[in-house]
Parts: sequence; C-alpha cells; structure tokens
Amino acid sequence: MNSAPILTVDNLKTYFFTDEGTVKAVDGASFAVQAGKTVGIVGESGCGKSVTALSILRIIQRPGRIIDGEILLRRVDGAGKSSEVDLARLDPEGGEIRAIRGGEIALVFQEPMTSFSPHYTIGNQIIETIQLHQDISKAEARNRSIELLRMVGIPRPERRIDEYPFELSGGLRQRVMIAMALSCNPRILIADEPTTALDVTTQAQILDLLREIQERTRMSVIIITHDMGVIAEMADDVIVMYLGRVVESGPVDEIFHQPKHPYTQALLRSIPSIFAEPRSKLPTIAGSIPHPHNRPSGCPFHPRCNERMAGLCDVYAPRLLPIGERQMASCFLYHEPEEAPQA
Amino acid sequence: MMKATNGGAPLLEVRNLRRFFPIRKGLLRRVVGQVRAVDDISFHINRGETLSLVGESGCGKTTTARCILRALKPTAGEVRFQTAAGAVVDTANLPKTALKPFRHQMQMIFQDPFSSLNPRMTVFDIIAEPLLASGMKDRDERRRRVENLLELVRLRPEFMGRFPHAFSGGQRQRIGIARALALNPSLIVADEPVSALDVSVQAQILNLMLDLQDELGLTYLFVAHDLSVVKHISDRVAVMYVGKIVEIAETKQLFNAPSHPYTEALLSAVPKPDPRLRSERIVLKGEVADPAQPPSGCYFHPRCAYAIDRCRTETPPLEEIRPGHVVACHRAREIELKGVEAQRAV
Amino acid sequence: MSPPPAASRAFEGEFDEALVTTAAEERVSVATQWQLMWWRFRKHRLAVFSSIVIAVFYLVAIFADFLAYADPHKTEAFRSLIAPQPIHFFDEGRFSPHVFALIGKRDPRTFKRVYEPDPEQKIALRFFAQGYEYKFLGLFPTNLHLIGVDGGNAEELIFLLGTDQLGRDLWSRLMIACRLSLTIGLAGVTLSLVLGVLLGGISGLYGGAIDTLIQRVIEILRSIPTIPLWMGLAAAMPRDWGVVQVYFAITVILSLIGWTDLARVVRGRFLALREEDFVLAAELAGVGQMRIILRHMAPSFLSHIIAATTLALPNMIISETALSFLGLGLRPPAVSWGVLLQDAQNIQTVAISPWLLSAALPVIIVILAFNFLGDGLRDAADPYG
Repeated sequence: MNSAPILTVDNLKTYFFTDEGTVKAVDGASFAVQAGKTVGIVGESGCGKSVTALSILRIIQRPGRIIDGEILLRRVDGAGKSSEVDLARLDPEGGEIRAIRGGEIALVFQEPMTSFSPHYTIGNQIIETIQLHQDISKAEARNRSIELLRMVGIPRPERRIDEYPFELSGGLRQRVMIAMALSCNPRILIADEPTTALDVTTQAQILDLLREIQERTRMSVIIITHDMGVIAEMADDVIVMYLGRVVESGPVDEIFHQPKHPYTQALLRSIPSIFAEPRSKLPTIAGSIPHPHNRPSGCPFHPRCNERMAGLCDVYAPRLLPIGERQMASCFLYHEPEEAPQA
Repeated sequence: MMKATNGGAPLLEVRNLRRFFPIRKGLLRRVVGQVRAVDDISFHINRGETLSLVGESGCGKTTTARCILRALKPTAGEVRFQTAAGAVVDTANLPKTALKPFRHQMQMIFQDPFSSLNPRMTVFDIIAEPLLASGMKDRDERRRRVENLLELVRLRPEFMGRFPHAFSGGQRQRIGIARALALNPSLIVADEPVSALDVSVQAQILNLMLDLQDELGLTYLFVAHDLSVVKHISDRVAVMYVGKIVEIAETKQLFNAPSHPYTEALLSAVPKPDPRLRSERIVLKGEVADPAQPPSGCYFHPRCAYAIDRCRTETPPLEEIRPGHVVACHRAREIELKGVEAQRAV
Repeated sequence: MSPPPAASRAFEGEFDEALVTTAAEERVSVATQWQLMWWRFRKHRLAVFSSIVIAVFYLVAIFADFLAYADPHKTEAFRSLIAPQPIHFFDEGRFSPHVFALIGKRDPRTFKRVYEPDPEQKIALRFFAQGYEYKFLGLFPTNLHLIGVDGGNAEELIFLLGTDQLGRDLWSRLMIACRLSLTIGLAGVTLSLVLGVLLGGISGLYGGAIDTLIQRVIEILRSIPTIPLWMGLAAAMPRDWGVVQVYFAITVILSLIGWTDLARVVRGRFLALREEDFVLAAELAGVGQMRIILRHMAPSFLSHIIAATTLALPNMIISETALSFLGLGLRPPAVSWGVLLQDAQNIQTVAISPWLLSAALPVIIVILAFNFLGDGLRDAADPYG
C-alpha cells in the first residue's frame, strides 16, 4: 500500500427492504483499489459482489439502499493536489454521479445483449455515450468510436459500427461493450462477470484484451466473478466475499497459496481442477448457501465451517482484521472476538 | 430392427448421426438452407463408463444428447442402444410408439435445476411420476421407492411433501437425479448438470454422480463445456467443433497429449486457479464458424495455427492414431501439441 | 436391473441439510400453487378491495328487485323528469329517515312541469317494506323491498335518483340494470373462454398448418373495425326477437372478438410450456400426452387464464354498454346500463336533467374494479417467477 488508493470502500452496507424482510446484500464491505491495479472480487451467488459494484456507481434499484459506509473516489488535480469525493453521499440522480458514471468509472456487464438497446446501431450507442461526457461533434465522436472498436479488436470497424447488436456474436458484443466503457477514458473499469456468458476460447480473448488495455491506459480494474480461475489470471489483489461480508482479502498469490479463512481454503479445495486425476473425488463444503433471508447468526459461514468454535462463531460476528503484512481475514481463528481491534 | 448381440458390445453406439435444422424464409416458409448442428458424428460408450462430450456453445453437443434420447428426431444415422434384455435397438429409426419399452432405460439430468422440476408438484409427485407412468399403481410402494431414491441422493425423505421452491439449486439437482434414477436406467445423459450451480455445490453433485455410478453401475454421457469438471468425471472425452467430433481419447491422454489443435487451444484457454501459472495462452483468432455456412475443408482451418493448404480443401477423416485415440486432423501425426501438464511445468 | 441399495447405510450427517428452519418457512415449503397465489394476491390491497366491490355489485344484481322500490317498467307522465330527492335522516333530533313530498306544478311561463318539495309533508321511509310484486331469483313470489313507504305505493312518493322522461324511477331501474349488464359480460367471457382455450390449445399443441390457419383467422377477426361489425350483425338481428334472444345474440357477437385474445394467451403458454425442461423430463419418463397436458401444462396456465379472463370482462361490459347506447344492443323493455344511458344521448336532456347520466357511475366503478382485480391476479398468477 505504497500510495493512496484511487478508490476506498469503507464499511459499505447496502440493504434491500423487501416485503419478506431485510436482505443485507452487502453488510460491511471494505477494500481499496490502487491506481493501475486490478482488484478481483470473488464469491458465490448471494455474496453481494455485484451489489457492491452497483453501489459504487449508485445504481441500486429500489427497494435497495446504501445505509452506511463510505465510497471515496480520489482525484488529483493539475497542481498535484488531491481531493476526495464520497460517492455514497451523492444524490443518485444528481449531475455529479452521472458525470462520474461512464466518465470516471465505467461498467461492463455480464450479458452484453441485454445491455444494448436493440433498436440502435452499436455506433449510435457509442457516439451517444461519448457525446454525453465530452463536448465534441458527431463526426469526431464517430471517428473516435471507430478507433475504439479497432482498439478492442473488432475487424472492419468502419462497417461494423453501423450494425445492430443482434448481428454480432457474444464475444464481439462484449468487445463493443468494453469499447463503450472505454469511450470516455475512465480511471476505473468495473467488469461484472465479463466473461461468464462466453465460451472458454472467447473468454481467453476478452481477458487478454482487458489486460492489454489496462497496460496501455494504466486504469484500475475491478473484476467481479465467481470463477477462481479468472481471478488467478487477472487480479493483483483479491477480495473474497460470502453472504454480504468480506471474509478475506490480500494479494493474489497469498490468497491462492496461503489462504487464511476456512471459506477461502474450502472453496479453493472444492473447485474442479484441470490438473486433477480423472474420476477423483473433490473435497466438498457441506450444505448450501443459506437463503439471504435467513442469514446465520455470528459468522455467516459458521454452519458450513469445519473449524467452527461453538459459543463463539455462532454468537459473535468476526471483523476483517489484518493477518501479517498484507492479508486480512475475518475469522476468530486469528482474532479474539473483542470489539476493539488488536493493538 | 432388433438383433441379438454378443456380450462385449458397447451400451450405446452412435453411427453417422446427423441433425440439420432447416432455415426457412419468407411467407411460404421455404427452406433456404440448413444449420448443420450435428454433422456426421460417430462414437460409442461402454457399459459403466463416462464419456464426456465437450465443446463451445453451438457446437452441437446438446443436440447430440437430445437426438440420443430421441427428444429430437435425427436427420440421419443410427443410435444403437443395448437394452436391458440384451437386444440392440436403433432408437434413431424406431417410430415413437415402438420406443416406449426402452425409453425409461435412458434418462436425462438437466442443466437448469429450476426449470427442470415442475414447481406445482411436490417432490414426491415429481419423483414418483416415472414410477406411475411405468405402471406402479400402489401408492405405498411408490412412497417406499421415493424414500429410497431420496436417500440415494442424500436428501432427507421427510422432505418429500415439499415443493421445489423450498430447495436450493444443489438440492433441486439431487431431486432431478432421483427422478432420473427412478426407473433404473442404464444410461444417464447429463446435460451440463453442474454449470448452473455455485462452485461450492458443484463438487457435491460431481461426487454424488461418481458415487452413484459405482453403486448402480450407471453409464454416463456427460455433456459439458467446463474442462475442469470434465477432467474429474470422465473416463473418455470427445471434443466437438461446429457439429463434428474432432478428437476422442481417454481423459488423461486427451488432457496431457492432445492431438487436435482445437483441443490444445481449448485446454490452454481454461483459466487455471493458480496465479503462478499465468503464462502465454493460445488465444484463437476469429470466431467459431457458422454451422449454416461452415468453411471448406477442415472447419477449424481459418483459426488453426498449424493449417496447411490441404486443410483448406480436404475434410480430414476421424482416424485412430493410437489405440483408443481418434483425431480428425491431417497433421495429427506430425505436430507436437501441448497438454495441461506441459502448462503446469512452465 | 439392479435394485437400489437398501437404506441401511449410515446416512446420518451425509444429508444435504434443509434450508428451511422456522415454522413459517415450513409452511411456505409445503404451500401449493394456490396458497402461494393467495398470499401474493393478499398483498395487493387495491385488488382485494376491488374484489369486494365486484362482489357487492354481483350481490346487487342478485337482489336487484329487493333493492329497488318501484316497478322499473311502470310509466307515468305526471312524474316525468323529477330531480333526485334528498333523504333527511333526522326529524327533530330523532332518527327517522324521511323525504319531503313533491308537489308537481306547471310553470305558467314555460309550461314545463316543475316539482317542489313541501317540507310540511314528511314521508317516512320504512325498511323491509311491502312494495310491488316480483319473483325472487325468478322463483319465489314476494313483495318485500329494502325500503318503501306505508301503503306500498313507493313509486308515487320516493325518487332517490329522480325519474326519466317516462316517469320511471331511476334508482330502481339502475338496480335492475345491474343484472343484464353484469351477466352479459360473464356469459360472453365464458363463451370466449371455451372458444379461446379450445382453438388456442389446438393451435399451440399441434402447430403446423392448423396453427397457421387459426392464427390467420385471429388476425383477420382482429383487423375488422368492431363498431361496423357490430352494426352489421345487429342489423341482421330480427327486430321481433325477444329480450332473451337479443341477449344471447349480443353475447355471441361480443365473444366473437373476445376469444381471440384468450386464444393467443393459451397458445403462447402452450408453446412456452412445451419447451420447458420438466415437460421433456415427463416425456422421457414415458408419461402419456394427456397426462402431460393435464398435470404439467394446464395447472401452470390456468392461473394465467383466470387473470386474462378477469381482464377481458370489463371489455365485455363496456362493449355491451356501448352497443346498447348506440341502440345496436339490448333494446327496451330490457334494462341495462347502456339502455339507461341511451336516454342521455340528447345533450339538451343532459343539460336539463343530468341525473340521467347516473348509469355511467356504476360502469366506471365496475370497469376500474375489474381492471385492478385483473392486475392483482396477473401479478399473483405466477408465484414462482
């Protein structure tokens, strides 16, 4: 953590107030994104990884609401002076967040088909995004769009720009989506399951593209996925989430080679590996992920944890605290259940 | 149609299976072309083994599975199935009514645990339905059998009065497996059975399928796109590309010494869950060919790094290059390809 | 065929544990489709309220004669176009509902008949009073009415909503009109339902040429402008048909268009359900076609059909009203809301006696209530979505 991070999320809580009760989709998530680095947020369904991304961009749909926490975006002006804006405090409909959305922070979705309007050509949609954030003429915007499409590896962009989204394959659509996200030179790109809907060979192409663009533009990337393989390929730092909480965070090598939290350990053991012996059984995590309405008391993972300590894990909620220099975990194996952090 | 067979015959033999979907246009719905979803494929599955069918979306693996189950009528070819009585029937060419006596011997496990269970029926009704259809009239007998099946898939029999909405994805998948097992099938066609599940639940279902295979002597045709999952469950693997099989081999052989450039690229593209293995991957250029207008010669040649002139003009036949290892590539014997172990060594 | 291994193995601890822990969840876990739908519907306050409103309207239709106090067909030129008469509930501090007697006079300048209340003559209203003779539900002869006056000649003394040009009591006519207006919708929808489910089902189930044919027929039917079609059909109706014959003819005319919507809903559901994995699973298990339709497909579109039907009803009611208003539907002596509104066609009459428009109010209320109810049912129809 040598320099100040470009984005700091601190104790973010986003709850959904439904008829059936309150769903604590994100319940106290904290992490930081360094300039030019890739943060991977990994977790299974219901862990709150996508809601975290939507919270940063303030596009949480009702009945969801950010109820606590800070999302600090740091800016450095021409004189080298840095200032911070708390995105969690901004009016979600206001002009400031709209300028940040798509301008400073861009988003790439999982399903490229549903994120485009089927009635307009891809060119129209990129040009519109560019003109929304930059004051340039339509012709200039069109040239810039073609340039962007070429940059994301779309063959014959001069012709493709006038095609409709349904005329493109899934991989090409995701490239266009990325081009659109890049159109305003964002400082942070959030990619929410960018390759989940794609085949492996296309996934490899898109991951390569993302890495190449990052090297060229030095932007920060937040990649959200359930796929440990994608995390291992892409991330510098990893956040592991379970039922709305960050259970562990740290540099990618530590997470994969010295995982601390029992969930991270169990998850890594249970994923099928391409290096496995054929017809070999996998160690499993018992049970299923609880329904978000019945979040267990104490540590949310305790009913499935092999190392749970009765009277402790099922009563107190562990906090995310440092272990060693760069890693953090929220587990009573490493910390006492005191409210005060270690000295 | 029926023939007596020798004992060593495979449980299922697919010969020159084709399934084309007509493309219709205009007011008169005239056929203007064909999507060659499954284009002349042949393979077999031995009793008690797992054959995986892998490939990317649109390669025809699901169509193949559905043709074998006769959920779709094949356009041409044979699906020779050895029935429990020992006879061999060609289910591809039997009329639908003549199929009924053998149908229950092949069952299916679906990808989506939500749409595959009727939300309006209780777990008991769902699992007992095949029993009822096969003529088990006594309700108590059905109840005992359902209890048995639920225990077999490690679900508490007390849950049988519940509706599917009370279960998680993994539990629903177990219910689907119990239903498939209800009539003691010999062949289970599993179409992406774990791809809709959470990572921590995938392993449970894969282990259950391995256990059930040992306990009941099942034969699996496992359709999947995830090569890591395939590595865990299969004895042999068949790789499909644009409606054709490009390579079949034993699992270890295929993963460690692939002989088709497409298999190599596929293996290389899988993200490895280890940051120390970030290495140069083979990234294929271009897009998967359109099965309505496949390229000339070898369908893979426009994306293949090893393609020569011959590949552009001549379709490579599926040839056995060593026992049990068949490949459709003109250059299979001359090129050296990297498997997954080679990647780990880097 | 190997029998499955006996359950003797130690399964304890190996089971995939349930997600359900509390009693409330246990209740949900065994809840049927209809229970889930009811729980969801209950949350839709407006729809629940609307269903009560609709129930009240149908009760009015059943007890129409009881709620009326004057013979709806009795004309009397001396009581023409009386304005609605207010009810006074208290008399010198005592609860005693009464109306003032009206004195009819002719305006010496305009020669128009005018009516003036006479506060000296209080006519006490009686509950469960005797009135004109009618047959309750068409079976039991009685003369009991909710309100009336001593002596049983209520039609000469009370005019809660005023009278029409022929001196008939509007309140009583409005009550009676509920019967035809509300039931013609039901009959029309029933007929549409039969046609729609049958033809939509055939279309969705068999597909191919039959499907194309039925779809084209639906498109042709829907492309015909409805008013000219109705006019043509109404013109073809013999003038000497009785009320009952006209009633059934109108039902048929309404459902001729109405079934197309329902047929589309049914066909759409059939096509969607045919692709469902659980239907394929049943087919692979050797379940017969009939059982698949009845056990797997029908229950999941039944609820959609109920919702579609509820949304089709207001259309029927409004169509009847429109037809009758134009003089193409029910004709006097039949009494329906449309027939009542026919009297209000003339702008001059409306300007002088606006109470003739009172039949529009129940039309608006019922249509809104049916639409809200239909919305609620549609939202509840798929509790698994």
